[in-house]
Amino acid sequence: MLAEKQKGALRLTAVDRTAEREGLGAGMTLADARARTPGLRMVEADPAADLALLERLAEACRRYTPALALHAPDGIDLNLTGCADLFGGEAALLAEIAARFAFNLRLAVADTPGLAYATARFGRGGVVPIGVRAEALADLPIAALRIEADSVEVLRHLGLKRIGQIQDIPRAALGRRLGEAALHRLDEAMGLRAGPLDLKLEAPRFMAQRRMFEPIADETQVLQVTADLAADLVTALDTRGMGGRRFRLDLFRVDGAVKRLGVATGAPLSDARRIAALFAERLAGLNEGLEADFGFDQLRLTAEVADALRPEAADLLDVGDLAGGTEALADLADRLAARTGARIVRLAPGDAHRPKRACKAVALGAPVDWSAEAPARFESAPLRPLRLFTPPQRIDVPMAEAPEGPPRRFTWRRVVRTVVRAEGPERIEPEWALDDADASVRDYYRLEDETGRRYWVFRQHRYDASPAARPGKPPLDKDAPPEPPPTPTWRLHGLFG
Amino acid sequence: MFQPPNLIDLRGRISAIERNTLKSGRRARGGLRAEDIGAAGLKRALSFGPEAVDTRFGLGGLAFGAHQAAAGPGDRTAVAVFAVLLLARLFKAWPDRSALLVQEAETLQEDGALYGPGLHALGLDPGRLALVSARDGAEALRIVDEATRSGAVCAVVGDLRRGARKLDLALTQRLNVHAQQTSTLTLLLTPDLDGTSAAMSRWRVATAPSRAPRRYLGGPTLDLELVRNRLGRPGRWTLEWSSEDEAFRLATPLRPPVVLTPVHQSDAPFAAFPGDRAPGAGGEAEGRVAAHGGR
Repeated sequence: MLAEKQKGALRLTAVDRTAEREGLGAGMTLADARARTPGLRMVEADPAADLALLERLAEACRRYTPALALHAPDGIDLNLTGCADLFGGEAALLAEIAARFAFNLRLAVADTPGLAYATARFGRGGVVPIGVRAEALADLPIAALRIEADSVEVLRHLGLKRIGQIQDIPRAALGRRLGEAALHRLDEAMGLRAGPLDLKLEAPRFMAQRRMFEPIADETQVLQVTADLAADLVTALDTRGMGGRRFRLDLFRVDGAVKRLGVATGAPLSDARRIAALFAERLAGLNEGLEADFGFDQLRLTAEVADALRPEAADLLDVGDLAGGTEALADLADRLAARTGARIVRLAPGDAHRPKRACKAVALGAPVDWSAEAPARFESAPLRPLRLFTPPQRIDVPMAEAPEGPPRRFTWRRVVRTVVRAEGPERIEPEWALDDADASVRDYYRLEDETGRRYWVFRQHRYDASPAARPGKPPLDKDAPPEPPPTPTWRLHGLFG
Repeated sequence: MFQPPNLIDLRGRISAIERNTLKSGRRARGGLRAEDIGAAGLKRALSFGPEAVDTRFGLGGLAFGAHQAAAGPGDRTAVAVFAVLLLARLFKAWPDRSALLVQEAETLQEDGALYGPGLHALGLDPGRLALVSARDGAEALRIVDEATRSGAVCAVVGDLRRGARKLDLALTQRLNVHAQQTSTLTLLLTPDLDGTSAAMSRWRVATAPSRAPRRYLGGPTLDLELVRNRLGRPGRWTLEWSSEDEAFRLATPLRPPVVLTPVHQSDAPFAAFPGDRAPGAGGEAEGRVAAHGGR
């Protein structure tokens, strides 16, 4: 049995059959239960684990329908519209569910979610025939309507215990007593009002699935079925002129477990061969393998995210970037992402001239245009380094040597570099309104040492003339004394070669 | 896609080349005959610019359809500059193609990340260079191989560090086969040239002092040593990048010996630099003296 602290006392939240026979039940305090039945085995309730288990069960139930909703803490709604026939009818479906999962399940199928809920929990369960809603509800307790406990209590005081007793009461009178919400619940159960099925995940718009008579465990078979599914899915996508951006393959194992694989693409994709190839890559990259055990008896391929395909005419426009190899490169990017998770990017000009912000990595599909940027060159020498350090690296410049102008030697990574050529300074001012920590004027120099290596270093100046002008502002360099004399701070920001 | 009989045929041709180059030292030094080069499926080449360099390869430059290796012992930036400048040449020659550069994520912090404006300043359109960071060396190698095999880009650069330790003859031969199938130029940048490799050429790259007058920096200058060349003789050159021509040119030789005079007076901070000479002096030596590696 399970217990949990409720209202200041440990109370039972669930009991097994033996305990039930002893007269114990949920809601009883633990002390009472112990007094009544010595030798109880008590486990503390773990609602989070219960919920996780319920969610896993829900995932496993997706083999029956893609549209389902959780009824925490212990229920699952399956929308079986159009699904039951695939399993030989509703009764056969219930039998199949009961046989598959090793739980004590109470199952019911009914016209409306409210009626199914009431029948499963308070009635005998099973299939409620079509069109007998009122009769089916009449015998059930009012609590089955999912109305608030207070309302149930009110009705009980009035002697109304069964739903049948309130079905004939004028609505206005009932509404005054119980409030609108209770009326809605009644209407939902009766099917007079469409109750929202609180779907856990909406049914996907693009989906293809196969159920196998013989479970398959072999990877090549799985890939074969995946390829078939991809062909089906692409047919569906094509009719809408859409392509999938994210695909999910659910492999339903015979024992109820679900293996889920996802792949994402850079551009909308509606090519069955490529979709199948992506999943082949994804499978090849699995560390743990397929974990097929006794095999999968159902596969479902879903396009979770779909976008309109760019019209073919886009190829005719001068896109300007990566023309020629665009599609092949996108294909490669998708395969790499599926297998290793590595993402292909390109460098695009940034929106600010501050060095760190002058360049950003963007996804492969994003437009990149450097044509507006003038190549930063002085004669033949580049003004900007090939590699940039973030953050800039500390270098030691002998203080006495460089009060103004470039340093003549400096130490970086414990090696003294003697500067033989220098260009600069190039002053780069901070951009106002950007982050304050960066608000310093920097004088950049391009230096070459005796071996021909080139460095991009800067000397930092603070805006504030005196430390008192900006109180509370910590010095940028912790090692530098906060008071004057101001020591210029040197940093290495990049390497040219 | 690729047909099996074709593959067998090509494997036969490659093994014929291997026999010529790997097993017979004399043939390797002498380079491949023209028909061997054709048989190896090497048709296109990337020219460096200076004839002295380009003629070392039977094709007139660095061959497509094979992989090349370059190492910058102790300096991973110099070899990156080498690769980027080659890509700039390549983009100029094939204006509609792009390239992929594979790097190892863990080296980014130490080496610094590739910087778009810097690439742009070297004359390369950063938009045509796709970048991908691999988690580790093994993955970097896999991506290089995959990208080479896919033919999605015309050049693949693998900036390897840990991955370089995993390179062996079998792996590099396979890379050659894949590069040949797609006519891709694959360039592996490694910390050193240790280990066996089937690379078509192997380079040792270092920076060289600038040749610009006075204290200016001038074009990037590289000391290139062609250590192994399966298409001809090895060699050694100092090349300077010219941004006007978008080509390498042979750098004017330094006056030997190079003496870096220490500076004592603060009003003359940069006196006596090696490149500090009257323009035109030593110009006649261009193309001859600098090319001193040929055997």
